[in-house]
This record gives sequence, structure tokens and C-alpha cells, in this order.
Amino acid sequence: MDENGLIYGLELQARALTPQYGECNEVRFFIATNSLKPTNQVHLLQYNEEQGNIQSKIFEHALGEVWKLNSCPNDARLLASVYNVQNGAQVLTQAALLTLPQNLDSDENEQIKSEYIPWAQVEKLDTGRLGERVKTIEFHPSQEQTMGCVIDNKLAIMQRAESSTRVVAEVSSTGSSTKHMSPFTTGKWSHHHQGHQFLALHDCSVRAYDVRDVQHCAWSIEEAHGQLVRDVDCNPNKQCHLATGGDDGYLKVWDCRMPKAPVFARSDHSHWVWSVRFNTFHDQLILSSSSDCKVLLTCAGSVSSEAEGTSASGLESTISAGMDDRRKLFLDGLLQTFDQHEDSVYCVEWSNVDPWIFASLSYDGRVIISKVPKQYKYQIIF
Amino acid sequence: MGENNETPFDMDSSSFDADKYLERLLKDCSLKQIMDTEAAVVKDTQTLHSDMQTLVYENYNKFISATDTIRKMKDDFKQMEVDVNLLMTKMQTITSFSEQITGTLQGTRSQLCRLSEKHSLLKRLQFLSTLPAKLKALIEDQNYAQAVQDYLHAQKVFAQYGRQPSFDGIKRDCDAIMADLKERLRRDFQMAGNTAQSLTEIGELLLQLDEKTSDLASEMLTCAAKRLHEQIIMLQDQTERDMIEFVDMGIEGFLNDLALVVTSYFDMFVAKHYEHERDDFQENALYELNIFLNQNIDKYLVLVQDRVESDIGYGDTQIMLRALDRLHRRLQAMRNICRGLDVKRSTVDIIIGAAHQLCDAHAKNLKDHFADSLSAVRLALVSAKTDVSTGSSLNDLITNLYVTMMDKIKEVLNNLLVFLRTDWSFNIKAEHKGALCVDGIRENLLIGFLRHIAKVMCGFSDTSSFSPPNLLLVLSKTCLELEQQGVHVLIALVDDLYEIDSENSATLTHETEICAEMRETAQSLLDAYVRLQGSNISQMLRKSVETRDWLNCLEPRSVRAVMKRVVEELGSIETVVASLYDTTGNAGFRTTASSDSSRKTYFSNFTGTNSKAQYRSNWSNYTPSQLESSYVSNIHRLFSERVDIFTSVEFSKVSIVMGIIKIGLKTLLECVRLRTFSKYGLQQIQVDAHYLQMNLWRFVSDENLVNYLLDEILGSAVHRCLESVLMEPNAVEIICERG
Repeated sequence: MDENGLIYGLELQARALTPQYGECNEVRFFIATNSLKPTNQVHLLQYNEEQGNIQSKIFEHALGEVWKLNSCPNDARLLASVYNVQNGAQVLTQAALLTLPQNLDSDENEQIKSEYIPWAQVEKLDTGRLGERVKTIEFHPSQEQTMGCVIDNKLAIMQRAESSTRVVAEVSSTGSSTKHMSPFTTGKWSHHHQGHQFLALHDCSVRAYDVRDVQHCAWSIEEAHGQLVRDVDCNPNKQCHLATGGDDGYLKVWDCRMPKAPVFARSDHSHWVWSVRFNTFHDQLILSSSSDCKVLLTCAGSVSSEAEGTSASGLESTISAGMDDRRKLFLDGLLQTFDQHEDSVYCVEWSNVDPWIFASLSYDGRVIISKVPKQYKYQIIF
Repeated sequence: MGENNETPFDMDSSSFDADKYLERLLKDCSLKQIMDTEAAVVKDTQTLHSDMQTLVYENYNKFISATDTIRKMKDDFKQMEVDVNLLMTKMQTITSFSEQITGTLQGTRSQLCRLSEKHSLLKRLQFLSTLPAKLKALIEDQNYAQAVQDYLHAQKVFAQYGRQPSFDGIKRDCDAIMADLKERLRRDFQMAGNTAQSLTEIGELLLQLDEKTSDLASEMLTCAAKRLHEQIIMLQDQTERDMIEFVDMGIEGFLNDLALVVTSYFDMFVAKHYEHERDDFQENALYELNIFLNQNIDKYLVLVQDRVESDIGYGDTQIMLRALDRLHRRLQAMRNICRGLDVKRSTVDIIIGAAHQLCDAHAKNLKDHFADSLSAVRLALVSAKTDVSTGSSLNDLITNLYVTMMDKIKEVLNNLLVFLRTDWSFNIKAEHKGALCVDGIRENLLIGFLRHIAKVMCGFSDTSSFSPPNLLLVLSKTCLELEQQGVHVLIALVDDLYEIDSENSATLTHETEICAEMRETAQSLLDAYVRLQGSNISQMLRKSVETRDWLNCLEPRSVRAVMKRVVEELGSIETVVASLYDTTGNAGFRTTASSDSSRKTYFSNFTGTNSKAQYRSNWSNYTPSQLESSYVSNIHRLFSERVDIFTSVEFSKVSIVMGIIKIGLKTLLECVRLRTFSKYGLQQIQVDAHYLQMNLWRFVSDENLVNYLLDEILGSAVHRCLESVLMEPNAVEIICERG
């Protein structure tokens, strides 16, 4: 599988992919289908490196077609899904928390392999008051009970323990005559700022809201992209750095203290960029997926936490001193194009367990689990 | 004559022969004649006779008187003898007297001699004693030279009598005065404002005054340096003069002074030998002089360089070069004068520096000009937008931009040629640095500028720069023209003008490199154009899909307006592009489908009756409940060739328009996938897709690609439809044809 990746096929269209963040031993990904036909599914894929295969467990997602899936970093069994529900002549997007059964690996499940494994618990979130279209439910990276919910043009913080919901931000239509109010595209917790900030994407801009306050925009990057910003990801190892991908086909890395211009930008994609992800361990590696059917592995060494002079810890700097020469050769730019997908790739995710493995999902339901090519891996390690 | 003439017939001659005379007379003459002759002879004889008598008488008388006289004389002599004797005695007494006097005067005379000696001595003493006053007076009159001479004169005396106390005083006075004088001279020497001429004079005087040579030498240099420094400062202020005047001033003032100082120093210290100085004094002096000279020339040249640097690019280069040429000649001459001295710095360096700077200035100029023409193009494009920018105006813009740029570059290249004129006294190319400089004209100016063009143009291809799309098109075409023609012309021109052999040079940039760069730029600009236009169309399509409520729409009655706008937009893009890129080459390349006269075949695909079976668009198979639809699509995928949607566009109309269409359709596909459709929503998409299919074929060469994308769109819409019921093809057709 080294160069070509391991393929897992779904029968339905799919748009949702997330690693199981709570799991720290196995390489696992959740995928969910996006089809108007009945019986959407959630698959839990486990990649077995020794055998080079993928094992899957299939759950039913009876609520509707899944548009977004997120796993809770603090509870391996917890998932949040965002799905469409048809309500008469209206389509609503709602969200639910799904809990996996406790003994997932036990034998009794194996026996009923053909059947769907039942959920331990399904909890629909009450979002109807807030709006019609939930964009995403984001688990707080450290506070287990806290979730960020992007819904229409609102950003709400939900406290599960208290079952309280509070709207912290709302965008209203800017132009007086605009009939159609542009909602938030999606959002994500910021890894920085002690988890007080939530990044929300709105049209061409990125905004960071301080969730302790109402309507408190900590900073924003206006006109981050020429067109809609599709995705954002925080550099987990470097303060203030985040990556965005947009409809203009650009992949940009920003320092939120300098919102005027990106610190790094590439336009290797020829269509919309749907997803961007920093590698959790080696954050010079950025994955991006696009509707041009490609997944690109880009190196942004100059703005990574391992870049010379900016390394945070002293230990790291002593190590990197000896590696400078080699790293110099490791230039910024496109490292590898993965073009095994035949349809638009809407999701790409690094494994949270193995920093060299990632999964990508295209609309036609094809999941490919790939590895960072060996030569780059060695270049980074040594 | 003599005897021959002494004929015996001449009566007066001594050889007269009377017989012969008579004989002849008788023989020759008539009687009458004889008678006459006889009478004559008689008469003559008588006359002679009487004469003789008279003479005798007279002589007698004289004799008598003579006798008398002698007698008288005899008496006189006797008396005289007495007198003489008397005189003799007197003389004897005089002699004795005189001897007597001489004896007495002897003492006085020696005294006189002594006196006169003393007189002269006194005179000298007086000179000495008045010397201080005199010196003072002379000094006051500023007649230093005389004063020094006098003093030196006195010096000898002092050397002789210096030990005597009485002179000692005078000597001290004199020394004091001379010390004063020295002081004053020294002050003068040091005082600024003296000409070099006077400086030398004072130097000479001081030397005569036994000043220490080495001190004086160094002092002279420092003073001269000061003075020259003043000159430099004075020159510095001459900013309003033009370069030739400036250089002339420098030559007349500074360089002449410097030359004077150097030559006089040379004469004073280097050429002469001083006994009381160390052996290596001369060498040292020469060394010092060298340093001094170089320092000052450096200073001056630095000044000139500054001036050149500040002037270059503003004034007339020709004038400046003429000035520098003059300076160069002068320095060359000076170098000849100051033999044994080596002037390290050369004007050629300055000239090369100037050339470099001018190159830079020109480069900047070119860049500015380029930026100006770019903004002019931009402006033209923006203003032209009101009256629909047609292709011809774009073409005009391109040729305008291209031609002005070429002309400007050519002008600059010709302008710089002035450095290489053969009548200059310097030859830049002869020096290594100069040769580098000439290469620099090629490399930095031309190649650099071309690269700059490529870079700036490339900058426009960055989508964040928000350039109008037509600008990208214009720039791309300009780059292409540069690549195909301009680069070659310009590089050939520069190689020709400056006689550079670029073909065989390892260091010089080769033409193909630049061409490749230009082509790359043209390509990226074109890509950017396609991207920009594509995203414009995308934007329209996206908004139209996002804002519509697809679940609650009515049965389609017409093609949505946005599709018509898209087609119109594509049409106008095509006209613009077509004016720049001729389509002749591609006319025959259109794939089969378009040659079909009937545009209606598309829908037969849906009914599965069409012969083009390899083409997968068989949506008629679908029923709303069909779960296998995704399988079908996947299986289709397996059997059809993978269509690479996004490839770099070529420099042809069809490829460009196709690129834009591909981006637009892909966007439509993505948008459709994000929505959920009702039956009528799907049918609206069906109508729209058919309309696009009807209209887009004429823009593209490979119709299958468009059809493939439209199929994908329709397929996705079917997937996203709650109730997948397609419209009757005929109805769709009717709606589309109605417009």
C-alpha cells in the first residue's frame, strides 16, 4: 500500500470523515455516507498496518444523510454528526451525538457482521431554536462537556452537563438589500488561546470569537481568500498559525497576528479546496483535498514550528541545528500529489495515532488510506 | 711702355736725340712746318732760359738768409746751455726735497691705510648693528626673501665673530627676529588661503633658514593637504555648475595646485640631497609624497564620483563623459609629470562606476516606464470596459505596449553606447572591470529588465492582485510576443552593439533561458486568466444555485437567466480571445460530435438509442427508487476514460475557452451536490444542462468533455433529488429553443 494507498469503497456518496481522536493506539477513522436514499451508514475503519488491510464496523445512521462528522477527543466513543432531515418542503440540518457501544471488539459483534451494529446511545441535539441548518458540531479540545455549534449565521456554545446553550456570536447581513444572508460556512475550536477562541468561517473571511463573551471578535482575517473559505485548521505546535483553503484554489497559512497577508500560500489545486490539515507532529506537512479530485501533500517548512529560529523549545533548537543542512534541501512547496480518487475529495484527515498515515474520502465513497512517501518521511525524521 | 715710349723724338725725354729728331723733322715735315718748329723751339729756349735765371736768383737769397739763421742759432744755443745747466741744478734740489718729503710722509700713509680698513670694518659692523632693524623693516615690508638673504649674509659674519660678546647681543637679536620671521613664515605656511606657488616660496625660505627638512616636508604636505581640502570643499559647493565647468574648475584649481605642490615637493625634498638628514630621507619623502598624492587624488575623485553619481541619469551623459574624458586626460598627463609616483585610482573606475550607475538608472527608468505603460494599459482596459472592449483595441494595446517597450529598450541601449565611443581617451572595454560592465549592460540591464518584466507580469497572475482579466490576456500575449520575437531581437541587438559573444560564453544568460522564462510567464498569466474568468463564471453559477430554493420551485418553463448570462459571457470572452489567438490552426480539430449537424443528438444519449455507446450518459435508466444508481455511475466510470478536467491551457482560443468552461461546469457540479432537489428542481437543472450543451459546443474542440461534465452535473442532481423524475427530452428541447 506504500505508494498507492489502501482503498476502501462505500456504496454511497460520502462527505464526512474524521479520525477517532479519543483512540490512541489504533489507526481509526469514521466515515459517514451522504445519500438521500434510505439507510445512511457510519463506518468505523481500522487500519491494520501489519496485515495491510482495513477492518470496518458499520453502524446505521438512520437520522439522515450525514454532512459532517466529528469525534470527541476526550471520549473515544462519542461522535457528533450533522445530518439533513426532510421536513415537508423543507430540508433541515440537525445534529446528534452518537455513542459507540462499550464492547465494540467483543465476539458477539463479530457474529452479526452483516447487520448494523447498534449505537449505545443517540442523542439529538436541540438546535431547532437556533436555526435550520447546523454546519458543524465541534468538540472542545480539552473541555469534554463543551461543544461549539455553528448554525446558520450563529455560533453557539453548548454545555452538555448543564444542557445549556448560549449564542456567542451572530453575523447579520451586511448589505441592506441582500435578501440572502450569508451564513457561517463552518468553524473550529482554536488550539491556541487556552481554548477560549472559536474560529468561524464566514464567506471570504476567518473570524475568531472569544467564547467567554458575546459577540466578541478577537481577531479576523478579512478577504482571506478571493472566494469562499472552505476549511481552516490550526497548527497544533505553533501559536497563532492556521491554514485555510478556499474556493480560489489556494492553500494559505496565516499568522493571526498579521491578518493582512498570509505567511505562506500555494495554488496547486485547480478547483475548490475543501479541506486542509496540518500534520499533528510534523506541522510542515499540510494535506489538502480539492474538488479537482486530488489530495496534495504540501511542505510549508518555512512557517512550521520546526523552522529555524522559531522553534519554541530549546531542546528542539539544538536538534534542529544539526539538521539545518538537510532541512534546507527540504524546500517549501508541493511534495506529492495523490490522484487515485476519481471524484471530488471532500475530506482528508491525518491519523491522530500515526503521523505518517492519512485518510481521504471522495464523493463517490472511496476512502484511501495513504502514507507519506518514505523519502519525505526519512528526510523529516533524520 | 718705357723705352718704347721714350722715343728719341720727345724733347723732354732723356733719350732725346737731336740729330734723329732733326733728321726726321726734315724728312717728314714741310718747310713751313720746319720753320714753325724752329720758331717754337727758339721761343721755348728763351723761356727756359729766363726761368733758370730767376731760380738761381731766388736760391741765392735763400742761402744768404739761411746762413744768417744758423749764425743766430749758434748764439741761442749758447744761452740755452746755460739755462739747462741751471735746470739741472734745480732739479737736483727738487729731488732732494722730494726725498725729504717722502721720508716724512711714510708714517702717515700706513696710518691712512689702517684707517680705511677700520672704516670698512665699521661699515660692516654698522650693517650688523642695523641688521635687526633692517630685518624688521624688511619683514614689515614682507620682503622676506631679502631678509633671509641678509640674515644668511650676516650668519657668515657671526660664524666668524660670534664668540665676541658684543656681537653676541646682535646675533641674539637677529636670531630672535629670524625666529619671529620663521614663526611668521611658518604661520603663513600653515595659513590657509595661500596659493601653492607662495607655499613653495615660503618653503624654500624656511629651508634656507635651516628648518628641519623632514619636519618641513611633512608640514608642507599637511598644509598643502589643508589647502587642497579647502579647494575640495569649494568644489563641493559648486552644485549648480554643469559637469564640464565643474571638472574644469577642479582641473584648474585643485589639480594644478596639487601638481605644483607635488612637483615642488619633489624638487625640494626628493630630488635634492640633504647631508644632515638620514640616508633614507629621500625615499621616505617620496613615500610620503606618494601617500599624499594618492590621498588627495582619491579625495578629489571621490568628489567627482559623488558628483557623477548625483548627476548621472539626469543631465546629458555626453557632457558628463566629455568632462570625465577631460579629467582623464589631465590625470594621465599628471601621471606623466609625477614620474616615480603611481596614482592608484583611475578615472576609468569612475567612468565604469558611472556606466554602472547609468545602467542602473536606465534599468530603473525602464522599470518605471514599464510600470507606467502597464498602468496605462490597465487604465485603457478599465475605461474601455464601458464601450465593450473589443479585440482590436486589445490588439492595439498589445502592440502599443510591446512596441514602446522595445523602442525604449533600444533607445537605452543606444544611449549607453556613448561610453564606448572611440574618440574617448579611455577605453572601457580594455579593463577587466569595464568588460564586466559591458557584460553588465547585457546581463543586468537587458536580461534583468526582461526578467523584471516576466516577474512583474507574473505578479499579475497572482489572483490576489485583482487584475482585470483582459489585462492578464494582454500581458500574456505580450509575453508570448516577447518570447517569439522580442527577446531574440533585443539580445541580438545588444550583442551586436556591444560586440558581445554570448553564444560561446559560459557566464552570459542564453537567449533560450529568457524565452523559456517568458513563455512560462505567458503560460501562468494565461492560466491566471482562465482561472479568473472561470471563477467569475463560477461565482455566477454558485450564487444562482445557492440562492434558489430547489425544493419548492415550479415546473421549469424556461432556461434560468444565469445560464444565458454564462453563455453570453463565454461568447464575449471568446470574441476577445479570438482576436488575439487565431483559430485557423484548430479549425479542423473539432471532435466528431460537433460536425453533427443536429444538436439534438445529445438527448438521444439519454434514451440510449444513440450510436455513440462509448459515451456514458444514460440517465433514462434511472428511476427514483433506484439504489444502484451509484453503482451505475461507478461502473460507467470504470469503462470510460478518465477525463482530466484541469490541465494547463494552450495558447489557442479553444483551449482557453475550454479551460474556462471546465472550471465553470465543475463549480456547477459542486454546487449541485450541496443542494437537495425536488422533482422540478432536477428538471430545471436538466433544462439548464441542455441549454448549456446546446450552446457550449461551439466554443470547444472536444465536445465530449463538456458532455461528460454536464452528465456529471445532471447525475449528481439526480442523486440529490428526492424524486428523480426527468423531464421529457422533447419538452426540454422546446424550452431551450424558446430561449
